[in-house]
Amino acid sequence: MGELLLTLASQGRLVLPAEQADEAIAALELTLSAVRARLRILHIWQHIPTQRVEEIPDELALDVVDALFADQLAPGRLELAVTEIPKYIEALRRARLAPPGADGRLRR
Amino acid sequence: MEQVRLVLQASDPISYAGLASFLSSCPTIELLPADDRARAQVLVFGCEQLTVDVVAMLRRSAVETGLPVVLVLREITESELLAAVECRVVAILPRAAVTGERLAHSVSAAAGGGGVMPTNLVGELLKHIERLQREVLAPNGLNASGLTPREVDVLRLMADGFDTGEIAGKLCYSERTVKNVIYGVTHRLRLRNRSHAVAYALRTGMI
Repeated sequence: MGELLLTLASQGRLVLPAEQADEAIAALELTLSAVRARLRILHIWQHIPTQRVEEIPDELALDVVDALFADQLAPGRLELAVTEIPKYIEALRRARLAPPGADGRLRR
Repeated sequence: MEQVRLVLQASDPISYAGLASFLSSCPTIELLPADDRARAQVLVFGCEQLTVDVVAMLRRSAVETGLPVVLVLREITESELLAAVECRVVAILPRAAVTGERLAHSVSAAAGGGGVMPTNLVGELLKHIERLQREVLAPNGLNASGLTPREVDVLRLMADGFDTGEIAGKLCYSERTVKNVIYGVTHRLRLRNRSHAVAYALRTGMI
């Protein structure tokens, strides 16, 4: 999907108004940020030698359990998302049309 | 008015005959014989569904001719939509809604669009991206705002003017947990302080 969007944008086939592109990019950046936060939690957990939830501070335990359980349900989904979402963002940036008159001409 | 030259293909003879009848009656369209593809500006393809064979045929056509495709079919799923777009499909018409006028409009838009995907197809792609985001976020207890339900609860109470101790009491968390939730949100969203976090969450409709 990411590669397809990049190809479409590079070929000039995917074009969308700046406002629409910015909205989609903002949502994707939020998603990417949330995904990275979850991956950081998983990464921290993987580097704890004992890997015992009861040894984690209370305030982190819930997040760790949530992240581990979600990863069990859909293994690898976060890793895939963290490589795919930046491609969507880049594709939408390339596909973004500047508003008419922003710099006197249409910009790609 | 200059005619748009097109070739027609269909997965079955009935679809071919029906579409040919629509297209022949339209004065702005010149229907070329199948072997005259080199002169065509648009390919119209009619089928029941986007099967593996249809995709293979469209992909071959995209490589050989690069013609924009107007696809007429019964129904299409979101994942099939991606395959169609990859094969230079620039317009999709549901069979049930096809009229000579609509077909002519799509053909002329395809010919004049320079290969640019029409707005509705771009909209479908954006919907697909949104769905993929939900599929990643939902199992992790997150939503499209990027906040967990716990973060939303804390931000809402902050917006209502409660301090850390009061929020902890209302949500049955320790004060330390509330502080960590606030730190997590401000750090992740690169916000300066609690007030900034509340203002940002309100402004963006997160809470």
